[in-house]
Amino acid sequence: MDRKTTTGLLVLVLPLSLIGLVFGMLLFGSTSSAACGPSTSASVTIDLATVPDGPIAGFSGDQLINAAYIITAGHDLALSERDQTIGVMTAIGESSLLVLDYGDAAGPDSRGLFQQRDNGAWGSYADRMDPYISATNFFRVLATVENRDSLSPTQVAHRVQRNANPNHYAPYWDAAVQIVTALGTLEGTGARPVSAVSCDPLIPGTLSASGWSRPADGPITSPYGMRVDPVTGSFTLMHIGTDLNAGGCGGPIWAIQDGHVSRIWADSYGGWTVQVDHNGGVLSEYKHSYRSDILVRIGEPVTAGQQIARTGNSGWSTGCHLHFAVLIDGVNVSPELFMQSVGVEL
Amino acid sequence: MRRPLAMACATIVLIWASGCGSPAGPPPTSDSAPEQTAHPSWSLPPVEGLSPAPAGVEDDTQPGVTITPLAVPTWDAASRAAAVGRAAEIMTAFARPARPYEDWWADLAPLLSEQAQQDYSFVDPANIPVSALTGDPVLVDESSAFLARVEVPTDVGVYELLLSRTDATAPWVGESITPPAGVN
Repeated sequence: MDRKTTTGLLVLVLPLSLIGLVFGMLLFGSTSSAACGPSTSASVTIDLATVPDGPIAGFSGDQLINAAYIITAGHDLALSERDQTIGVMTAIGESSLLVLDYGDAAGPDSRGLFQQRDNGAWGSYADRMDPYISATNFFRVLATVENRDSLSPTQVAHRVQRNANPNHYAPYWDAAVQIVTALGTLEGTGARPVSAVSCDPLIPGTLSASGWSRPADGPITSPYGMRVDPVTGSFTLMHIGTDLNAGGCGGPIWAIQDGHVSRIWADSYGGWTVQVDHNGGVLSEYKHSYRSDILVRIGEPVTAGQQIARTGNSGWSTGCHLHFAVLIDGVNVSPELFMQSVGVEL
Repeated sequence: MRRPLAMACATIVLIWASGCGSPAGPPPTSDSAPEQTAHPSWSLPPVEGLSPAPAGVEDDTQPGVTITPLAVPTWDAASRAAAVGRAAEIMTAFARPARPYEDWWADLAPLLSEQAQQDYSFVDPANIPVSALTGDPVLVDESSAFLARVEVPTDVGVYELLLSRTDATAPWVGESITPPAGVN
């Protein structure tokens, strides 16, 4: 594509961007995208007499009975399906859902489903070896974890357990979701929790012939370039990225090329930003998702077209959109021109 | 609050504009540039054709914040030595299960990123299984010059530390401290 085409595109897009902004302000509040995963409001009930033998997610027999006690203990404290699932995940990570009568190197005095230590915080030996009582004591502490629905499951479990590795429980979350989904029914509806099934799947981006992906769907709502300050009239403001409608709130955001997640941070106005290092001096940045809608971790390798976040409205923003920036050797360049040079029209 | 900041930025721009005639960017890559991290298979178009942002203007997604070029880090001997040294410091501070929490955290926290500070502040050192480094840390992944994966031999096996840095002038900080398989 030559420069003439680009100029024409920019001229056309500018008025559209103003319309887009106004509509964005009218249509979208500052709510986060639809929650994905177990319910944070409804509790799960269970009939201890009808627990299946399994296997479910590789667990069977006594392991599922123990999971049922954990789910019941959470229900009796009026905790949510998500909290109950965190309880099952924690016990998988501590004991594989078995009432262990032994500890480990760091805690030789640890006992039971949750490997609770003999430090006075978790009751008597009998309490720690009792599936229902040990789960109840776990959940009593969990209920004090502030803002826990905005923390990842392993972070919540870790804040109760205070173990050495905050990420320890993450690998057990999927199995816990499967178990709770298979064993219980959501209170009030009598229905199976369907969260695990209905969880919105990640959407891969489409790659260009040269192997690059758009960062998100268009249209462009505000192009890259200098701005006239609406108050002073001076040319001191610059839009250092390209705004895209990006599917609106919750829409998919894609890594434009292979790379590594090099930074995730909130800017000075609370705008969450993901930075991907593509090597060769090229960085891409994706701004305005809510923290909980960022789907990658720092250090993680990503591939071109991989969904890395959902579109949001965090920071200096008046409606859900993606602010997409490209840096070459540390300097912001026009994302529209850069993407065009690799065969992708924004 | 915003007005004085904006005016300050305008002043900076004026000074910049009178000092230079064209947008300021980093000098082009020369033969003396530090070695580059595993270069990708695609090639870059010339930056000059991509409308690079001039330094000194104000970021309209962060009113009051002036845009300055990012000092992009590269892998060189100093970076590697700093990463390995920082990994040893982090592991030494972490592997002290007998210390009271306050003392343990006071030494570890400054070595961690903001996110890792939130994550690790809830650790009870009494639950930490490792108590000694038993060898020199080894840098095992240089895929990105912003990230360093370092293996640290200890009395309970090899830990893997992920470190990050935000630019070429920032120190390495710890992101995660992952125990060997089977050790919690």
